Amino acid sequence: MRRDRAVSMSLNYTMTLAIATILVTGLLIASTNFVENQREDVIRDELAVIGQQVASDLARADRLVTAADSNGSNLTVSVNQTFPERVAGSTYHMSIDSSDNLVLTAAGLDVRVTVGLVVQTELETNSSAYGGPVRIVYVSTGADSGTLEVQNG
Amino acid sequence: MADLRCRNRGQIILVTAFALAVTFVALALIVNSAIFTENLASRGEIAGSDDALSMRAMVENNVGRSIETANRLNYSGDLSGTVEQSIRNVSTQTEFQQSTTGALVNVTYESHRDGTRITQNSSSQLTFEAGTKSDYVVVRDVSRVDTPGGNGTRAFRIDASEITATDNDSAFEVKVNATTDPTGNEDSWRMQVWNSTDTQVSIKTIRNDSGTTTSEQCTVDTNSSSFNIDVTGGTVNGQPCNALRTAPSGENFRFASGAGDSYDIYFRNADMIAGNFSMVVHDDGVTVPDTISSIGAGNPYNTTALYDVTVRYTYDTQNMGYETDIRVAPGEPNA
Amino acid sequence: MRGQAHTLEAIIAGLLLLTSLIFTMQMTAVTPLSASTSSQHIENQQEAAGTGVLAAANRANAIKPALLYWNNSGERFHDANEQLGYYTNGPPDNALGAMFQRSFNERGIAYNVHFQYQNNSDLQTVRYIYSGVPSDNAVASTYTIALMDDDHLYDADGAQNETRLSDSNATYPIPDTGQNVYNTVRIEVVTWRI
Repeated sequence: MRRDRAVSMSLNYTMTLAIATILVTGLLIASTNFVENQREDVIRDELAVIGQQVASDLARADRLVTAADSNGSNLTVSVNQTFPERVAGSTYHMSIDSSDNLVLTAAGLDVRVTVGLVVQTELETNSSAYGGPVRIVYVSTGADSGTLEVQNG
Repeated sequence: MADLRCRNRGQIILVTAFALAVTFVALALIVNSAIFTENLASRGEIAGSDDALSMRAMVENNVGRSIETANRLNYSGDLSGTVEQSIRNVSTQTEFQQSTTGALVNVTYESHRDGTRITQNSSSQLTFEAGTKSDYVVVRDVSRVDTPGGNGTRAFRIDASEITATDNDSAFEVKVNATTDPTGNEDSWRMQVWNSTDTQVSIKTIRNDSGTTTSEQCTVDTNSSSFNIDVTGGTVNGQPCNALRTAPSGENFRFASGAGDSYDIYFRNADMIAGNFSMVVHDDGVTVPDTISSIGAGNPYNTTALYDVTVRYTYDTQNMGYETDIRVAPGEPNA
Repeated sequence: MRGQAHTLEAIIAGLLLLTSLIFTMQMTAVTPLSASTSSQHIENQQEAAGTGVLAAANRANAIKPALLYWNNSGERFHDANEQLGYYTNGPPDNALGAMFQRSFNERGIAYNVHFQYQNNSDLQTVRYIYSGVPSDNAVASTYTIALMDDDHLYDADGAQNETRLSDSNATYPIPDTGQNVYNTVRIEVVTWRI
């Protein structure tokens, strides 16, 4: 035993351990928080990008429908695009709500992004799709009319 | 510091290191996701979707050309059969070429509407019966294809080599009148053409909607002494003329606008203009009293023609499918 | 024995540290340019420019006169390179050439133009303007047009000639297929940045 050690070995030991533990815990909490924040930001951004892509696909399908000389059962329009199935590790799903907005929600993280849509064809409210291959289809609802729907696959 | 002889040295630091390592891996996943997002955001249109509409415009042009050529050359034979075969040719060749870039295009003839083509191509005055009649009926009972708002005449073009009138009092006039003509309240559309100076042509259009008259005039300066007046297209030698289109006031002055669902076309003062003209009218029972049915010197004549053709257009790529009917009627007034 | 275990432990610890450092460094070393997003933007832009020029040329009725700008007696396009038969020194002297000059030459974009057509179930190509082998980031835009049997050839000054495509003495390289429709030609414009 050296003669210039602190009060007692056990106090020395405990204090060192305690300070180390507190510092390390603080560091871990900060880094976890940091990762969570970054994740939420990235998910929000990526959902916004995917939302804009789906909105532009809807606009494209709408253009094809309005430019057609026939409608209803005489017209076939479908536009596909494949999106990533997971966004920074969490799945998501998109749906059209009653005020013609596209709403994307990420599962488990409570992140919601809304993209406004301006189309001339009617949209099928409450049609929804999960991440992955997304298809926008013109579904005829009668001999002369139809709506645009968001579907999977 | 802790006892260096202890076997359990640095455990807390080890655990911290593991936890930080897991954090780094999670961050790597997130950064990867962010980079992919940026790439996703820079993607333009998916292959083929805007091409579907531009290919549709090209198909419409090409089918329109087939109709025009067939009307000019094959009026005495099987007109619809010829056009059907031309469409098939164009479709097969276009399909073959587009398949090398990953798109499937198909155009199939579906149906057509009969028409009558009224032409004069002898470069003389637009009069009838060798110059004796300068006020005459060109065609009676032209019905629109779609009521309201449809058209009954298309591709009405006048290639004037000489316009003699210098003001609108004695100018050459094309009058489109509703078939039932109650006295005083006619529904008509009139166009007067005269030569204000050597290279300037003036056109005045007068619309009469059950008694209310509105008019619009335009003067076009061309650099030549022959004038190519596209009446249904609204241009003179390629330059737009407001009297044959929607006026700046918002009123529609296109050919036969406001003239009722079924109308007659008259020429007045046809000795004031010389050249060629051509028009195709929808034939659902028209009569052509003052034209002859075979080519005769100096007289307008009529031949059978196609007014419009409906084709089924398909455009398929890996990411897109589009199938619709297209109605092709080249030279129709657009409104 | 204990010394060996200690050494092994030290080496593995060192390797772990090194691996984790490399992994961390790699994760943050990706820059926006490495995903080639900027060249993607340029390619999108050029494709849109090419399609726009062709659509505008169609509206101005400049495509058919450029297609039929053929010197019947000389058996090549008007003022084209004499041995090669296509333009290598800038665009031709017609409306379409002027549009290409404004949209491409003045902006430092090189382009090749060729016509594709069908010859008895064979796809063949006629070169119109050639500026060299395209780079790796080249994009193509196309326009399809149908030629009719009674279309006229065009003279060097842009006026219509008397010779029709269906005439027996016409030396136009694209062959006649079928009635009324002469052939369907696809114009392809390949553009890239110099």
